[in-house]
Amino acid sequence: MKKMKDSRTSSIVLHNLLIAVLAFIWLIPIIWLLCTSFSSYPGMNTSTFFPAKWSLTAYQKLFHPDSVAQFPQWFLNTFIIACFTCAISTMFVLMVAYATSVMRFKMRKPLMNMAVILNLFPGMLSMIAVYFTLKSFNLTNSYAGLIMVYSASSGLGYLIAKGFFDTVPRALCEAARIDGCSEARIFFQMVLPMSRPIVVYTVISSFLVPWMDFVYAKMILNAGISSKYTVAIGLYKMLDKSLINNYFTQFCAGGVLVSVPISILFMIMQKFYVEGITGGAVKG
Amino acid sequence: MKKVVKKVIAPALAVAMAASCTVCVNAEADETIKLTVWGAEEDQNLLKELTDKFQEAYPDQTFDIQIGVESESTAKDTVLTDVEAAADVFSFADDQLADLVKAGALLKLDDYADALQLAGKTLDDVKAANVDGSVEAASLDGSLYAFPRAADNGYFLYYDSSVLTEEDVASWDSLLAAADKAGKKVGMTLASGWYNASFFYGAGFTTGLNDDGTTSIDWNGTSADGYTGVDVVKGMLEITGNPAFMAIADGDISNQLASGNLVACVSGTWDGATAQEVYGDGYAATKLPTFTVGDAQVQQGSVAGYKFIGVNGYSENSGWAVLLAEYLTNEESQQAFFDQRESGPSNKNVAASDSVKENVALGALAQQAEFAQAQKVGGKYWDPAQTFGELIAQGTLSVDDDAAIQEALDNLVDGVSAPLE
Repeated sequence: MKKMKDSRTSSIVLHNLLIAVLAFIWLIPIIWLLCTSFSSYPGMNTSTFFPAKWSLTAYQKLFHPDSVAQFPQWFLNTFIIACFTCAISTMFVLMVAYATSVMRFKMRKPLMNMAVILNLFPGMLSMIAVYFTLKSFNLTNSYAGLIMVYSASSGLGYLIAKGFFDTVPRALCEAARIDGCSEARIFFQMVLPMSRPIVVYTVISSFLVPWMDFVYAKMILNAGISSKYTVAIGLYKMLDKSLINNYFTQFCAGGVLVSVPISILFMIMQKFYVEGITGGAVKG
Repeated sequence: MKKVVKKVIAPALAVAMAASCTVCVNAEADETIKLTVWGAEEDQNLLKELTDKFQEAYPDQTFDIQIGVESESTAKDTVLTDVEAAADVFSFADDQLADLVKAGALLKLDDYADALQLAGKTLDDVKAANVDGSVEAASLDGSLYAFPRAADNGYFLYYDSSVLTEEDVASWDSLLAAADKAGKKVGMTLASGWYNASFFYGAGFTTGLNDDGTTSIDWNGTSADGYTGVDVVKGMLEITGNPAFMAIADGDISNQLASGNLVACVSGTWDGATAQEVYGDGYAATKLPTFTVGDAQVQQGSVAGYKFIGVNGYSENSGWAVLLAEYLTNEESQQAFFDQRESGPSNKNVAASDSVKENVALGALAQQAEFAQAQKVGGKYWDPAQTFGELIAQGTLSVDDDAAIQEALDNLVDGVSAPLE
């Protein structure tokens, strides 16, 4: 009996040790970024893991923009784009999910299949076509174009939300319909309040898209006007051969600051994410 | 019925609105000249200053000049992605000229010589004012396609004069021996066709760009100076095999400099500030050292590069764009570029000024200039040359194995001179 307990304890210890080692390995780059961002040397110096001299200059410089680094402006730009993308794509996702989950119409199955198949193709495939389409509508170098690109196809990612809506008892919706409730009202006043976890999850995940995208932003904001950049392009530009000597530490500091809103959102999201995926079982 | 009306009218309205909007933009353009300029990030403030002066020079005309960021080294890629969306006036490095011309992205300046009359100049004045090499590099088939702005896109040797003497840096052998004694290293980038060609150019080998875009290269044979490619590679391997040598990845020199490992390194003006900081009072620069080929000491060559400012072939205000490009590259502007950015001028008068001559990095560049040449290669050159450089840097080849060295050279030549698909 005691032996069994011992072996169980040792296996728990071993597991946790393994996890600790893995976590350590995964955290090294992040710790390095954090430490380097507090270096007093502006350029790149990888001879030591921890900077020789600590200072806050990189952060101070980041908030005192010059012609190269206009971080506050980039942050604001990205934030604006993120807000719009968030609102539009959340609406798209939830509406598509509701339509496919609750409503019954002839093309429902084929449309769902098509959406899944379309979603299998990497979005980058359509990059050139998207660019020239936007250009012909004069939407390149505008946030409107970027917001459209980020949110237009978001409806295809409806599957998780649909899975959640499926767990809302159909009898409730039918009862409402018999009482003369319109589809919009069923959606806004019955289904949505019962699906808060999935709404929050959708909101947060679509808010993150513009923060992490580089390719489309680089392609669409191609006039080279520094004050119009998003954070991703702006930080990338700091790594130019002639700039890296003066801006590398600021680049690291920028990377840390960008991760702040993302990590906060993710911490909130974690709870709802699990709830969103598994919540169905409780409701059913 | 109502629905139908909506359906028809809505798009019609949208079209009408779009049409009216384009009209209003056009109407504006008649009065204000809209120009965009692309320059390197670090030049933004200076460009702003210079374009402001340009506007003052033409008080009768209203301009709307926007300045955007595009590094000279990547200008070609960005411009060619969508030439119409690119800036009217943009700066770029000389090796991109041929491709840009081929894509119609550069205006043939000979056709716009009249525009320059407004500035009281002729194209010949521009050609005469800049060093011959830069004008030659900015021309294709006898026509000028861009205005030379700088002649500092080359490399030379930075060293710490508190550790190394002038005799030490004269040859790789003495340089490496002295560095070894000091317990330090000498760094150079080998895994790049821009740097490793310096050994071959020094020994009299050549590369050339053919009319069809392929590259001609003779490194696997015997050069005009009578050296064999194998001997050059052996000379390189002698250097890389020395424990005091450090092969550095492209773009990583400043990092290694800051780490304090390097007592000398081969790099260009862009690392000048870092070298100055690290070496302090010992900060010095000179031409590249000689290296051993067979029994002889051969001066290492190098690539001379220029920076140009060109006018987009699709520019809507090409006349004004030509004037602006000329203005940004004239003597006063090049002087300003030197004063504020330590950029090495291509203008003869500015280059001859004392302040330029006293600049350590530019002085070394001038010393190296007589051994430097413009690198004429096609797009197929870079990858095989990089692989070849890596072979040498990693010590995969052995100094004694002539056959293997010859094979590596043959592979390099085959890859570089391959036809374009």
